[in-house]
Amino acid sequence: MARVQQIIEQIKEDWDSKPQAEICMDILDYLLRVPIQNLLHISYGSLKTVISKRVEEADLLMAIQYLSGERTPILEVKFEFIENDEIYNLPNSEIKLARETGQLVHPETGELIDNFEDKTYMYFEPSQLAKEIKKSDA
Amino acid sequence: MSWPTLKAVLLGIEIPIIGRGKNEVIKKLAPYLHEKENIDKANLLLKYFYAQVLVGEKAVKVFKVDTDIVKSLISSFESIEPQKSIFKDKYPFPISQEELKDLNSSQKLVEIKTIEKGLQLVFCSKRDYTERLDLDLNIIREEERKNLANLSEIIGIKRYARQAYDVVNLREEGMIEVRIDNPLTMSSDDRFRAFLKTSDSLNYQIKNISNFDSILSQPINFFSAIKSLYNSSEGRVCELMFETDGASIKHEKMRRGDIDLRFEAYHKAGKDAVDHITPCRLGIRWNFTDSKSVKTEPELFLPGNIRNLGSSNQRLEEAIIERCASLEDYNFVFDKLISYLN
Repeated sequence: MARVQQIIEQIKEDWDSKPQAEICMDILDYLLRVPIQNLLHISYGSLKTVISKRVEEADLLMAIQYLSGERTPILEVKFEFIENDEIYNLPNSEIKLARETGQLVHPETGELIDNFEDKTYMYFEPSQLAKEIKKSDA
Repeated sequence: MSWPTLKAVLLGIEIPIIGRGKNEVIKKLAPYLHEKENIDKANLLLKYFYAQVLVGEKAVKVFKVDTDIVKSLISSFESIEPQKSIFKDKYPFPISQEELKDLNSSQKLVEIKTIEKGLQLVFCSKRDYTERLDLDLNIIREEERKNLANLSEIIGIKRYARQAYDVVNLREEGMIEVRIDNPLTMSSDDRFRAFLKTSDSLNYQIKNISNFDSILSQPINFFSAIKSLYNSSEGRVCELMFETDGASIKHEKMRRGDIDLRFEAYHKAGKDAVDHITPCRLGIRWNFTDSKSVKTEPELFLPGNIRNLGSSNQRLEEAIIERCASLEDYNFVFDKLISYLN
């Protein structure tokens, strides 16, 4: 519980009365109240649904970036490759290499492809810290 | 060989994966496999390559045929040799794109091989495929784009030829299995034509060596396996289409290969809220480790559709078996399919 309190204090301190404070609190609440087996793949659209108020897109993006950053890491960013309705998980190391080299190894054919950004999508999982907090709360 | 399968095979038989992407990895394999101490691994890899020709990504139809007829055909086929052809000369390796270019699409018998409880025939041919590609709107000049004001996307159609390996298994227990190449991009129309062609080639061969005529009648109906596999504790369901009596149609796909759709919270709660669901399409995967420690996740896909459920004659004549590395995992899935038919 102490760690949750610490995160809440941190969010308040960093965002004060800005809309991001409420967005972060809504996301934190969602991650804590839903069972872990139902939090395996959280899309951007899903996070948008979780927010209780209507918010500006830029504010939401900033809040997500903050929650997946180093200071308050409760979300882990993951990537997937979607082509012709087929979905493939991409290891973070692969997406990092793809951005450095400009080429992604196609997860099914193994061919190096250039135009991967249009087919690569971000999603989120609870971070290690969030998982530990959930575990200690359970 | 698909990239995930190649990686699984290399990992299983302890060949290092060096480089990024299939082409680079294959290129860097050559010097390793030429080293004297790696000769056994090289031979093993070759066996897996040969297995891919037989079981890689396949669609299958099965016909029930009297066991005496199958046994008689097996002994007739055992007494002949496939005729000489460019495909046979290179088999199991493919011929070059240059050689393929000048051929028509007729199938050639390239292998007749006695297998456990049966006989295997392999046919090769040139097959044309059509692939849909999403193109970048910017390839059209701005001026021209103005004249196409409502254009939001451009689709390109790519046509290309590939060598197809289609297999026919004469199974002593009274079945003939027609197993065609089914690459990821193959349409159901192309599959239909490939099945027809392979059945015709088999009938032609049979006519030449025996007095039997058109022994392939109606294929075995796989439809009942959809429901019985869903209700079983087999493998992990990764795709499901079903209807409810509340007039809804649901199509569910599991993003993660290690999770069973049957136990996903939404699916479970939804199923508990109704008397029953009526499935018409199912994808199911198993974890499999073969005798050489190669770990795969072979998948059986039964591609029924909602129309099947409205019909009094619910038929599904083809099954898709993919992600296999060898005959071991292929036969494992095939036997599961047959054992879950009512």
